[in-house]
Amino acid sequence: MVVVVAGRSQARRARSFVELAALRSATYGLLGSLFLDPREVDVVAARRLCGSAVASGLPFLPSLRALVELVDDVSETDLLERAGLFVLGACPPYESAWVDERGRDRGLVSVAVERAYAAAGLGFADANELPDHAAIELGFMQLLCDDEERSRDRGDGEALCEYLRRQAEFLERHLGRWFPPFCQGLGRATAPGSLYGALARAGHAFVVHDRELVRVLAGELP
Amino acid sequence: MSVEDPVTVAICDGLADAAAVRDALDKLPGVHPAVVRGLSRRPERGAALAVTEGAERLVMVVRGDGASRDEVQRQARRAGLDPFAVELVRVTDAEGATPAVALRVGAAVARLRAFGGTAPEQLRPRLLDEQATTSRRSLLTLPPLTYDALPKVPEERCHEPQRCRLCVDACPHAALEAEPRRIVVDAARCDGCGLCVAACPRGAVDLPAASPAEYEARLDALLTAGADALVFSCRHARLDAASWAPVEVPCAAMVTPGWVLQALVHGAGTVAVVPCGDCFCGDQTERRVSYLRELLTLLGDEHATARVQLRPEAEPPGLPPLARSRSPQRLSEPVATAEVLRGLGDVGSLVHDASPLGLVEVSDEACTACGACATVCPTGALRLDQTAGDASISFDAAACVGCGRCALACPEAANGAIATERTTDLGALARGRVALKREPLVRCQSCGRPIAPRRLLERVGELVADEPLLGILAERCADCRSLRTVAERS
Repeated sequence: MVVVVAGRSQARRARSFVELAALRSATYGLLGSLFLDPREVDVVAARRLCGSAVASGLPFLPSLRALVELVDDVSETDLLERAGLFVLGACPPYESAWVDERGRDRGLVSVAVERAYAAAGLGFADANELPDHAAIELGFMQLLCDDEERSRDRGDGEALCEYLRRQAEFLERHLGRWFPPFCQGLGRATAPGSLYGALARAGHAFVVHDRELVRVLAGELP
Repeated sequence: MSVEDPVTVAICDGLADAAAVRDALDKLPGVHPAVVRGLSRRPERGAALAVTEGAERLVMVVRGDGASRDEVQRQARRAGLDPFAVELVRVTDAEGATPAVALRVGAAVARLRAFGGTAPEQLRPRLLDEQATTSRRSLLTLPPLTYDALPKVPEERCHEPQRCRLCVDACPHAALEAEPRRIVVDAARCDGCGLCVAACPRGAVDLPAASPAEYEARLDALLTAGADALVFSCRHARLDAASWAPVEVPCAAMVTPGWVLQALVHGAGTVAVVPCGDCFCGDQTERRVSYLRELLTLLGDEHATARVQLRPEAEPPGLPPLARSRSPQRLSEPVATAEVLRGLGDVGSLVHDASPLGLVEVSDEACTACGACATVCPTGALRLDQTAGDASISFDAAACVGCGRCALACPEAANGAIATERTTDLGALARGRVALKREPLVRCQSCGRPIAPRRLLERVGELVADEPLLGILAERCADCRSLRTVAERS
């Protein structure tokens, strides 16, 4: 009887981490798409994400929910604000702009990011954006979380180790370093109650949380 | 938050006298307690009640063997509550609807009303029941998550641009690092002990559930409600002191002598500080208790040993408080501690390494009134003033925390220009701000603006051994020298 109970408890735990990986993947995907074109966000999927995440009790959920409420109603004002922030340069969404203010090593930053993609077996082929754009880096984390989810689902501990290591490295060296201060800058540059203000708050809360979460999970690696 | 903001108080129906507990708590201002079925084992019901009532803060009054703090936090998070906006008050069967329970709940409500919320960077996830991971397979079934609080130092409140770093030096885990213009917290190293909070004389460090404002609110509630015996206990300490009003702290070393003194003049007759016994906090607490007893003896208190205790006696001695001050408690400010002491006496001096205050002395011969000490002083105890005729360095003992930053910054320290010591000097506190050094100002012969104190210019001349240079420096200010050079060249 004790063995059965222990087995069920372990199965529940295993399932909860599969769901957590799926939730993280979906959140990275949502945030990434908002940096490209908010009109093309799948609002139904976004609402489903929030609904499924309620039971998780993750601390970034309130800000994520507030963001999803605004995504449903993207206005002309939001698009103008987006242009001012990201196109005209009030708050450039590129890692190189935030880690190298002098602008001398920006090429090196882009190359380093591309190398990280290549190490994961991915080639960068987007002609419209640079590899260190927020949407691309968030998209990369989405793929790594997908990989983690699949490896957990099939019980592949060895593959899981590899994906957690890649996530930890990428967050420590790239996204986790520049994205939180970028979001704080974005929050200061946006109007109160705006879509991009909500994106800044949710993005900051989520990536800060994920950076620490992955650090804890990677700390358990044998 | 104000008294009008709702704080849900949920009481487990499994308590020995739940209805009486509810009736006792109903008398607390702004509180509407409710009895909840099975709350001790099902904390999610308390969280649901808070959501229903539209409250963002929750106190749960549960049995001693109820759900763990981590489980309560988890359920609070699931309900959308801030993980540190929930207080747990455990009640034993013997306690029932006693005034002690109402006291603790009232203090919990007060603390929650002073709670400012948790920023994303102040939460560190942690796996419950941490175990050594020995295989890749075990990664698939990790234990559940919980969250610990991390401190944050807002740039606008911090004195780091002047290289204060008192919080960095106070941290026993090397978790704080000074970067240009800000303090950064290493989440992996931080233990949440709160020593950085207590070390900052400006109250600039914010630690959820352990900020000075929250402790001030909790202490105020306890003392206003009539608690006369307080015990500050480390979260890891085993405490058996039912007759004392408890105040849990992350680490006993967070409790400075100033905290104890302020409690003693705001209604407490006796204060105990209980360390966990497993870390350095034991030694530090002993030294502070020793300091307090010596200080109280100096002030003529015959009950100093009973008034400040290291391990609380089973029954408090029933001493009256040292005073009943009406001014609010301000735990992080040295000036508040000095005000307490000024009210207790004005004669006597105690040199002790645990003194929360300090004294600075300046050599009239060696000091050049350059003002470097005043620039770095985190509390403004040292101040540089300029009048029409001179520059003066003044010192206020009430604001000095004895940190020694002034001596580190002084360019003439090697010549004995400045000395600082951890000293509680009641006479100095009574005197207020005094001038330590006054030096005539040399003014620009062109524009009349001050150049520097005379002694400073003389000292520069001595160091560079160049009389003509001294003459140039003392004649015109930098702006007028530049204009003159441009004019000569053209």
